[in-house]
Amino acid sequence: MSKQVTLADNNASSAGGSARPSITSRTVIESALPWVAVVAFLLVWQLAAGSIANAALLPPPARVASALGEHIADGQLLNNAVASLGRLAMGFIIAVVVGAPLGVLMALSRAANDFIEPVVEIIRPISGIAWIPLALIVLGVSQALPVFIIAYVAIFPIMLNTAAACRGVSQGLLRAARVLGLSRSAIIRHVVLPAAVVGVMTGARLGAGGAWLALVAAEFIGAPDGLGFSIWYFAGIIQTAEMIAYICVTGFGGYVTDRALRLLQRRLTPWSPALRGI
Amino acid sequence: MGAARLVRGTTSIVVILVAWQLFAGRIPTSLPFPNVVDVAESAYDLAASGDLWQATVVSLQRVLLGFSIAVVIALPLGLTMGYVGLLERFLDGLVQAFRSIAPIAVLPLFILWFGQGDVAAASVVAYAAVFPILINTIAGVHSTETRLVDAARTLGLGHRHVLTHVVLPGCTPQVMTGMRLGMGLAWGSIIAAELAVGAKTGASGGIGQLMFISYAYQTDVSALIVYMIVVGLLGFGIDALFRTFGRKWEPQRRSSS
Amino acid sequence: MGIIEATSVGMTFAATRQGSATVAFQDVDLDIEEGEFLCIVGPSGCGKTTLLNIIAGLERPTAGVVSMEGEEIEGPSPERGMLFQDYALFPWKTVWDNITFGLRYGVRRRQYPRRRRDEIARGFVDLVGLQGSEGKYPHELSGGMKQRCALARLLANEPEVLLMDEPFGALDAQTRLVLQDELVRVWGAEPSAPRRKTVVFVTHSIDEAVFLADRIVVMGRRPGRIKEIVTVDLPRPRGTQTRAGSRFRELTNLLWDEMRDEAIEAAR
Ligand SMILES: Nc1ncnc2c1ncn2[C@@H]1O[C@H](COP(=O)(O)OP(=O)(O)OP(=O)(O)O)[C@@H](O)[C@H]1O
Ligand SMILES: [Mg+2]
Repeated sequence: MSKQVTLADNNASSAGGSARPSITSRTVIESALPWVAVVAFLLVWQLAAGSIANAALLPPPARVASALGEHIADGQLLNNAVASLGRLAMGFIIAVVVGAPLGVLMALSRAANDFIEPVVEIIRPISGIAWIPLALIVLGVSQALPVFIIAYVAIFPIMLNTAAACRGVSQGLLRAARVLGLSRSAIIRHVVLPAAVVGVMTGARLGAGGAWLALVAAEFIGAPDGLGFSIWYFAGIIQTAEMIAYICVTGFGGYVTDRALRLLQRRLTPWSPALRGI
Repeated sequence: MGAARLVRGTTSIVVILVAWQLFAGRIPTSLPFPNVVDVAESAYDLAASGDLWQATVVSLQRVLLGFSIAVVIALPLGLTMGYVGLLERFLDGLVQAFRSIAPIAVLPLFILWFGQGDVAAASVVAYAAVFPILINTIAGVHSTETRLVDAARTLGLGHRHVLTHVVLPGCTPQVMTGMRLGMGLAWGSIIAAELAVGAKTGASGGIGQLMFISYAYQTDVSALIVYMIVVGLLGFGIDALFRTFGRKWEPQRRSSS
Repeated sequence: MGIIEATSVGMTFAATRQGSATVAFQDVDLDIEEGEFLCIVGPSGCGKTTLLNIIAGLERPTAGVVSMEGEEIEGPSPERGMLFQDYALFPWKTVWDNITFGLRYGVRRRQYPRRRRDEIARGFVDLVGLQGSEGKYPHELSGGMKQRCALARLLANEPEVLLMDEPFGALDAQTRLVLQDELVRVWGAEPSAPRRKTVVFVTHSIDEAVFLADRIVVMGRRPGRIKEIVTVDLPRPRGTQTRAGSRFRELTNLLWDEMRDEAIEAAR
């Protein structure tokens, strides 16, 4: 960190000398900086759209905003977002319900680990997306398809991180618990399971990006509605403004998911090492 | 210990294969679901014909192209952003916004701009890989020890040389992690892109498209499963490559100084 | 006029989210003579490291001016080399590559052809006694060898002024004594320079300061400032017999009293 501090300090002192900006105005400028970049990006977009002058290729930001407004107003966007988020939530819940106990089991029992691990390592490299056509054959275009794909994508990071977190409980802690007179089940409940929650949350956060990718891809091809479906639909009829509006909504959804998981992680596992530096 | 492990692992794999063989016929699908033997036969046929190899090469080329673009963009940008705090602050909002968008979501836009061929596919790959590399590089720069940068500066290195000779080697492990994650996403994205493009017209090649065709037109489920296995094998191989590379970089930096 | 001059120098760290602004030290006036060995002692947190960083050009003071040979110090320069307590060796470079690092990538890189660079580096490898370890990586060295390597790296860059921040602090007592002797030897007998370098040496150890220094700056806390400057009139060359002498004992006792008063005052 302090490399940048040094640089920033050098800049400040060579620019201002004794009249360096006060702390408050400096922090205000710093917190405004990202927005300057966003505004600059929108300006460039506007200019590019103006010079291309073809709304099918690149509509100006205002067109996208009004398309977004229309779809919010008539409720379509809400329906699609609810459909997508519902699938995401469902897939994640399945992944946690199946993955977390398996992870704990793998950490607690060497034999269980030996049985499960090779299978996981063989299946895991097949990306969730590669399952889409097969899932189409078995499940058809349906609710179940994206849910299955999301659960598949999320389950591996959750399972493996849970196992790693439980295994990571130090010998010292286990010994301390035993010396304090905890039974084996009490140790699992009060020492191992808290570690498992850390692993579940870490895995969930790691899996979220891949889950969104899989969700959008699955909805492109194998769902009757949802955000991915809408992007693909409007792309097909070359309504680019609507398409970009829905792309932005998926981005917002991805951002909100990450924030929500982070918040949940802070709530459930305030001691988690993954929270350091956030 | 090693023997028990092997036995257990083999047992569970064999059990799964046997169960598949026995119950394949009972899976309720519109098409007959292949059993293990069907898939093995199909794999043999496909390996003999050239189509699968050709499609694999097409997909790999696209991944390589897109991934190289991502590295060329993300590595210098990440180094500079990590080193110059104000630049990082400045670009933070845009990076957060764009990285939240699932890479495959921008595929239709890229198709609109670049057509259905390699360029759109490679662009999606680049988009997918750029953010893990960028973010891990920035984190790596932050974690290089201030002392080392100070030492280099007192030895008379300018900012450019500090970046290339201290910061870059210092954050190589994290850069490798970023590349590995980025490659994983890239490989997933290329399959998704080819699948989706296949769903639209069917004229762009790649293993993802073969998967789509075998589902949509030929309804050849055993070939489809072979393709999935190929996707898995390649994904595993690529990841293993990165892991070996990553380890190559480790030993000298075990202790910090 | 000294080679390094600090005039009413002060350093205040701006408030951060974690805490309020910190005054590291203020009103520091200091003249460092060319060729002198200056030690700085003082309680933890009085700003010794910060002062050294400012002289190195790694940080800019918030008040006053520090100049070298009459020119204000505005950034790091190979004229002023630094030896760090934690060695700061590049873990991905061998001993040899660490020692030639500044010559190869620093602003001095165009000054010498490659052969001359290698000669210089070889000279310092021999001087600090690291022959045979040139191909090792830092994690394969003992603490004392690491510090020798860092010293050779510093000297190979041929700085005018050597800044040392508790360079022997992390070593065991015996290695420490050996390296003190070697530092005095190197400082007095460098192959490439006919005259002595200027050394600014921060330490916690009063014995070390008295053994090494021509003058000792005693700093105080709350706020950090210079309390006193003590001239060490022990004759050179110094060696084991110096440490046994009565004048050595006197000086260390004097300084120890100073430090104790300071610590008691600071704790009040
Ligand atoms: N980057 C920084 N930001 C804020 N405060 C700092 C920073 N660096 C140092 N300080 C503060 O300035 C004061 C002086 O620190 P400095 O490291 O120079 O002390 P020191 O005399 O070297 O101590 P020690 O003997 O423990 O090494 C301390 O109170 C410290 O907390
Ligand atoms: Mg210090």
